[in-house]
Amino acid sequence: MYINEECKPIKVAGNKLCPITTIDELHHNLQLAIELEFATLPTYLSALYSIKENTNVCAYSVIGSVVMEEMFHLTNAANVLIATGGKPALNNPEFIPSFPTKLPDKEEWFTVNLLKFSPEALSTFKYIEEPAELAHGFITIGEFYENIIHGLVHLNEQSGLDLFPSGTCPQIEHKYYYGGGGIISRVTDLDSAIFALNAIVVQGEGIPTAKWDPDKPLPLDETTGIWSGDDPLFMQPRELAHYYRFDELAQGRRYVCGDTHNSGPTGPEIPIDYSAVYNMVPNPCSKYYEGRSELQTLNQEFNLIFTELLNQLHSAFNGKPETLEPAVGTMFRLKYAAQELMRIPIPDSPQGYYAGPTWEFISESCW
Amino acid sequence: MDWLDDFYQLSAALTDYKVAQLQGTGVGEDYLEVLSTIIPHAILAELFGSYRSIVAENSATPTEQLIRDGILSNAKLGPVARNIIKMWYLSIWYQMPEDWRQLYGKPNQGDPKYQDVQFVVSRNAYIQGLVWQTLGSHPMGAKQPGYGTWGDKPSDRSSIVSTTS
Repeated sequence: MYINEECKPIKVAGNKLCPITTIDELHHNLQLAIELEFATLPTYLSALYSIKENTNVCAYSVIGSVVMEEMFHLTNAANVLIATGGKPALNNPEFIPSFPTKLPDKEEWFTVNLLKFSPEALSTFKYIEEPAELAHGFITIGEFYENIIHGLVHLNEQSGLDLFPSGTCPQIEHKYYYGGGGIISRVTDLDSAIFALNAIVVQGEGIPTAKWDPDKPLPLDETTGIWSGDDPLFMQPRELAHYYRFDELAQGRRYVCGDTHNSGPTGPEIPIDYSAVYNMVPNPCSKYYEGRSELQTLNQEFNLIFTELLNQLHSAFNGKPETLEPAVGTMFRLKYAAQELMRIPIPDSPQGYYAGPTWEFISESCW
Repeated sequence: MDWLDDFYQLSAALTDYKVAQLQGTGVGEDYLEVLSTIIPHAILAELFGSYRSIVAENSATPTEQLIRDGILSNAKLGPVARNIIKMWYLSIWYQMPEDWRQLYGKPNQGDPKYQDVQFVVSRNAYIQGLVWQTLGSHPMGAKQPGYGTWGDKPSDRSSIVSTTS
């Protein structure tokens, strides 16, 4: 009910992205890119962690794989920002939106809610990953990155501007980043910066094509479905672009050879059980836990772990890349704290809702 | 017969965890099912009733002492309460003591998969055993803590915010 009421595409005024002509604008947009990639995580993780143990195995692994790639995207955007002399900022309350929210890249035609794994959640996910070809007239993540790439090219052509200065903070390199999403490569010049940003678009929306035809059979791999360009460019198994991976879940079927965008997936059924899901309250917020001290405490614990994670990531992107290693341990603790909350029924909830984490950064003065 | 609330209240007192934390394991209902399959219902009703009276008594004596005197020292209820503690911490149902079985044991009252012999309650329950977080550890191979965390100092839940920044 949330997505249908709030997410009807509405064309907004000022729907165009501004061309990037200065280094400050470039840095601002790359910071937005980091915030954009991060903002998808609470959304995807809320659905992922609401899935009951040992159920919906396919959906769990698909959403999990997308989450891994969003972290890869965040790291790529941060590396480009660092390489061009900028400083990623992750440890402040403004870094993380309060849900429901709009995405920070001016994609104002849909609302992002934190929802349990459900058809409504999958609709939101598809909006987030919508290919530009489908969202006529609306800004997509792909177009947002395309605008950044144009800005990079423009600035690189300007004489007297050292776009990739020496002596910048160390970037996150592959040795600090393990476990998925893709191979992180260092950004040193225009080509490597464009490569890093293209990886984001290709994994999310699929390869952009000049003449897109929804009835043309999608370029399919024999075994796994739509070719997303992952392999061999980014050293990942061939997988569908995020949009189509979520579409498979929404429709409960696999894409196979011969399927087109318009045909939808016609392959084997994907077993999905929406009842094997904790009934997390939509867009959890702290007011639901007022007067319920045990839930307040657990949510506070979650937010402290979340804050610690943002501090560690900030540190990793600002001179101490080795901090990414303990940050991975923090990510696991965050997962366990989120799952704990989602298993707890909110007392006296008329809808039978369960708790969920509120994803808040807690400033040091509030500890 | 809805004992879930009673079960959580008594379990919180017996384990020294909060009700919400016990609910957060997601396996409390499984434990109650095991318990109510193996233990005669009249004894469970007496056990939960005893705890309710202790709470209602509002005595000057600490609740912990009242539970020791009224439940843990009781030949009929004590072994059941101990099994509840062991189930929460270790996720294992231990066979009831021989003398208790002679006096009170009855044939299985529900799902035949739960018999009064020693068994791990479920694959998932093993992961959720309270013993792991009480120790500041984790169930090896089942709940990964992240690369290299084995080199970190153990921490407890009350000091979750490290100084890393």
